[in-house]
Amino acid sequence: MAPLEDPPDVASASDAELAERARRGDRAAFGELYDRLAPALFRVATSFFRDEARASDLVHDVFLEAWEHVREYDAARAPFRTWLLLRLRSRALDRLGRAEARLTEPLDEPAMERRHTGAPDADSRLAVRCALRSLEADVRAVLERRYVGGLTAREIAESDGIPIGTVKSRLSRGLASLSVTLRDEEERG
Amino acid sequence: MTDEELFLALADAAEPLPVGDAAKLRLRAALDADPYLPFSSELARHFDLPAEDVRALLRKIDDPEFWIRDVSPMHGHLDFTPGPSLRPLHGGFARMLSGMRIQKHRHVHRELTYVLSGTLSDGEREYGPGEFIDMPEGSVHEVVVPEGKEALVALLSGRIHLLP
Repeated sequence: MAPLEDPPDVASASDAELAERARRGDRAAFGELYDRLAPALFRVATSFFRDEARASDLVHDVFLEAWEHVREYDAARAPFRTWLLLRLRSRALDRLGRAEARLTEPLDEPAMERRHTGAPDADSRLAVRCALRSLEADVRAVLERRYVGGLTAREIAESDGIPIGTVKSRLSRGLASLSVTLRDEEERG
Repeated sequence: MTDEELFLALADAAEPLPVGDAAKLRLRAALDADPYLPFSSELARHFDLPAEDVRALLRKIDDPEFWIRDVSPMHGHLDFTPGPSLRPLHGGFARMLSGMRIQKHRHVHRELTYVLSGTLSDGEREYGPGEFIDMPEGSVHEVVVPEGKEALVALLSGRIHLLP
């Protein structure tokens, strides 16, 4: 049921409240979501497209598509930010001609056994985030290029001008570090 | 952990990158050009019309040129033809004034009222944007626009009989 009273100011509303208002056609609420979340999406978009204009176009198109489909958003399934990020990933891979990479296959690297059948819980996400931040910059950059930018090891090597063995080594170290973090988290949990 | 989960973890850990004012203005201009876009899919389904046709209709709503004014008891209306499965029912957008009341009536044909902005009440509950009242043949109700804000609705309607 629609509220009778004036809605609260968008600045003080949570993302979930703004998303619910956007579902009812509230442009101000959707604009506030853009202000809050576009910088995170833009950062990720630049991992797919080093050309900032293409990255900016991608973010614009994802938000416009989200506006058109906002009534399909289900807050019970994922935060609005996650919903946007997955849309962005999907569109980026389409544009890169990598639709097959959208399939969420488990990692095949031996250091990374599949530990979760569903989405990781908040503690695991936090642990992974901490582990990522503790990685050496070049290791984390290769992980981003592989799992955010959707490039293969060979493409990363060619794009960054480094030997493919180095790329694989960095991927392996990064995934091993994450694996240890997740194992420790699992043992604590 | 799947590729998708790793993607989300890496995205969560990444430092945001500010977007420029030009990008913000571009997005806002796009939203202003299509203010009712979130309702297009549902309207297309309810009115049996192609989504592109509905999007084109929705873009006309805020242009006074397409509206017929001063049609009592509405504030104005913008007609369109629903899809083939719904004919001969009538389709249209209507602006209903704050405080307006349509007295109790019986529906000879089905009527569907989809709210785009503002609020409608049928005496039992209120309906806001994205909600609809679906009245089958023979059903009876009255409709009120609560005081405070004009309502904009999409209507699929046929004949009605006003009741005393």
